[in-house]
Amino acid sequence: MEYLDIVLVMIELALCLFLWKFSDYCERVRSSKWKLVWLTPLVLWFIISVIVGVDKCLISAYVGIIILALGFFREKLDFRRIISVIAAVCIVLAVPVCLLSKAYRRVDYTAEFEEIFEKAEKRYVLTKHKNIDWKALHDKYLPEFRKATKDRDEVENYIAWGKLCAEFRDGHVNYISEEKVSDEACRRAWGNDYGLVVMALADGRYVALNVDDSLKNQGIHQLTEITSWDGMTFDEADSKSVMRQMKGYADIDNEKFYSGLFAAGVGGDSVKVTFIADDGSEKTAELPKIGDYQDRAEAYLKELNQSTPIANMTFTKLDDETACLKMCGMEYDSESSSSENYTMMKRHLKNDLLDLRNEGVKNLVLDIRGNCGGEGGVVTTIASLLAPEGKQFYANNPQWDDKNKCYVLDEDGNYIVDDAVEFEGMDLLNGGKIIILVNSASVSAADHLTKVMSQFDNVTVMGFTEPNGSAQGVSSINSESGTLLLSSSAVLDKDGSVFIDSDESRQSGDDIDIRIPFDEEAVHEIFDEDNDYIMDKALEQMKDK
Amino acid sequence: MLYSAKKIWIEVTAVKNVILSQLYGLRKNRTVFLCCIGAVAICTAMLLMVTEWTGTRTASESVASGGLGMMTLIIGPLTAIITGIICAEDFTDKTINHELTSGKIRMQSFFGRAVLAVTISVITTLTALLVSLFIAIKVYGWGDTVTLSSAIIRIFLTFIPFFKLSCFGVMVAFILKQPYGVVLVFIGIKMMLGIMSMKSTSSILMISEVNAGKLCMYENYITYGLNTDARFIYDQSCDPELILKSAVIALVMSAVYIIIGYHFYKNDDLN
Repeated sequence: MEYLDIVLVMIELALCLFLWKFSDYCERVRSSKWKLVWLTPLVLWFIISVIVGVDKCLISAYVGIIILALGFFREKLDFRRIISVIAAVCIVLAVPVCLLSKAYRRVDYTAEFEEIFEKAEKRYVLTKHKNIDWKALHDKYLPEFRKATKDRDEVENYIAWGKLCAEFRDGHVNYISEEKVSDEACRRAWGNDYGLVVMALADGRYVALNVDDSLKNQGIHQLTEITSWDGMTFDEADSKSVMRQMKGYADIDNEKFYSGLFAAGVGGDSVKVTFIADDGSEKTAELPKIGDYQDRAEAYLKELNQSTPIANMTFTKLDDETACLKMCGMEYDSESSSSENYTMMKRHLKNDLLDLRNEGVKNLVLDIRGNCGGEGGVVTTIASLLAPEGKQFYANNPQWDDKNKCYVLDEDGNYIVDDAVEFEGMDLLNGGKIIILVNSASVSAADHLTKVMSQFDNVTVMGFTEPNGSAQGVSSINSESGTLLLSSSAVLDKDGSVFIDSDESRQSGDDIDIRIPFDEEAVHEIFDEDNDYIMDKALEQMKDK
Repeated sequence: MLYSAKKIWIEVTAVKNVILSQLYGLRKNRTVFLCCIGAVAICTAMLLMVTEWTGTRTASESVASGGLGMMTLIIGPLTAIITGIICAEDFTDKTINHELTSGKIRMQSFFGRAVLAVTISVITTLTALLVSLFIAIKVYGWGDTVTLSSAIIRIFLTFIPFFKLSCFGVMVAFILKQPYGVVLVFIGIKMMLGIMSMKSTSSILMISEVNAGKLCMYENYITYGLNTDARFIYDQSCDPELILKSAVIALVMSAVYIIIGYHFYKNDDLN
């Protein structure tokens, strides 16, 4: 039971007892004001109902409270004593009803889904581009929300939303809820820990990573090749992972990169894993479940997707000729965010960059790995400091029909270009080399920066994966249980096509120039030597070029 | 049957007489008059301030971006003062005692005051909202963010929660018998609500001012372009389910308030 419902029941019972005794005192010391005391149960009910709302399973308690309030109207001692007893019985009766009923404090997730889904269909700007079949999605996920409602399971509801959002293959379509709900959902969705993470290397082999010591007896260690997972190929096992179903990689290349990672959480109390032993023979081991996969998988991902450990929007010198600008979010400070005036930011970064140039720095690494996005103004400011001199293209805004409050579409249903957004380049590096480091978590404004900068000759984009590939403007739809974020503002490319976001082919519009292979050397450098392998590769590239 | 109808007509006439005598008294009561004028002035100032603060350019934009809701939040205490004065002032100068000794029965004196207090406070509230809206239109022009008819409909819908609020004021006035005690109770409740978190829909419907704010709120979402201002897209329609639930809850709660108020007053020793 909710603790405030318990408080309500306890206090109301205490009031029953008190009023039973108090009615005797009222009989002896008569005053018209005493009867106001019989309204106390109503007032308390009102206060608690305002905080937590009413619930049909507590109806008997509510009836009891109303019966108790009848003492206000009839001042006979016997009547007041009888209603105190009846009210107490009614209030007590509510406790087993609440404890046994599945309907107690049940949130109607199905109704929430229907309401949000209807709004999302009207607002989502990539329906045609991504060929979204809203009806099919509705029919596919409705049973999951019905089940979550029936089971009164907020985590199940979160997982259903996660899976639905993933169907859009758009990094901007997300469902957010209370932290405890999302944490529990992730714990469930990652599955069981069998003592290892599996990922595909660049040569196509699936290997064991972040291996638990207990598996060494079975002959499985870092980089042991795993050939099958519980009798399934890794593609099959991946598709069974709930976490995989909740991850909607916009770009299919990024999805392929993480192949095998999700499979390693799929299974029951134990899994049969086939692997190539050190002597070259194929062996099978039965691995028992040793905990939740979430901790192992997330620790592994944290190490894999590390970035320069300095503060947002700060520079650090990597060597005599190269500096790094770290951007973990496209935000500078609260003042520039609220005023959308980036003059101060530009001045600070310009001064820092000129100081570094005076110290002999010629090249720059922009580290936007894990950059969760932010403001377009920050993108323009950074790009203008580094871009070649003259007017540079950012993106196009689509035409907006102010009267009908919608975008103007051509005969084929495509957006029409309205105005181009441009910025003035300052070339503060004097044509020096720029390398942008990205990963699949570099999203939104980070996607924008990658796309805008990659048009210049002195810029190279590097990483294990491409950036996320999601670049439209976002808005939110709120409900009692959570908030759905979705792309509701369109941004267009030079040719009028959708900016960056992938279509059905799942190839996004901002590619990388150098895809660093995830091979044995990468694994050794990252997990054994604890090096920032991607950054080392960037510095090598800087010298090679 | 004919006898009952005649009896009811006599009661109605007696209630009407109390209303008329109260109205006569109110003509000379500056506080109620000032409250009515104050309600209009505060609502107008609030709408103009919202327009200036939010940087909106037209009255319709201001109304849609929450101006109406802000007005409904501040108008509650004025409703309390009006109901408090009409219902409880006669207790302080013992007019009500004289009225009862002169042959009026308690039902007549209760409903005579209650009907008048509820009517005047609801009319004042609606008038204040409408007048401030038209002043804002005069100053900024209406614009095309939402239609004027949708704003007026929403203002009239606030009749539902403000009726409930006035009935609550009547009950408190007859229990406390102190006009300014009603205001203190309202302020106390407002402060208590400030520290409470209201999550469920039923909570929103129970608190009149929050309910009025919800009825005045336009469902919206934003789109924006790069280097352009955000464009708010408002849904003009008001959720029929919300209106129905508000009406049902208001009716039930108002009835409860009036019954409690009347029953207390009926047997009160007036000390």
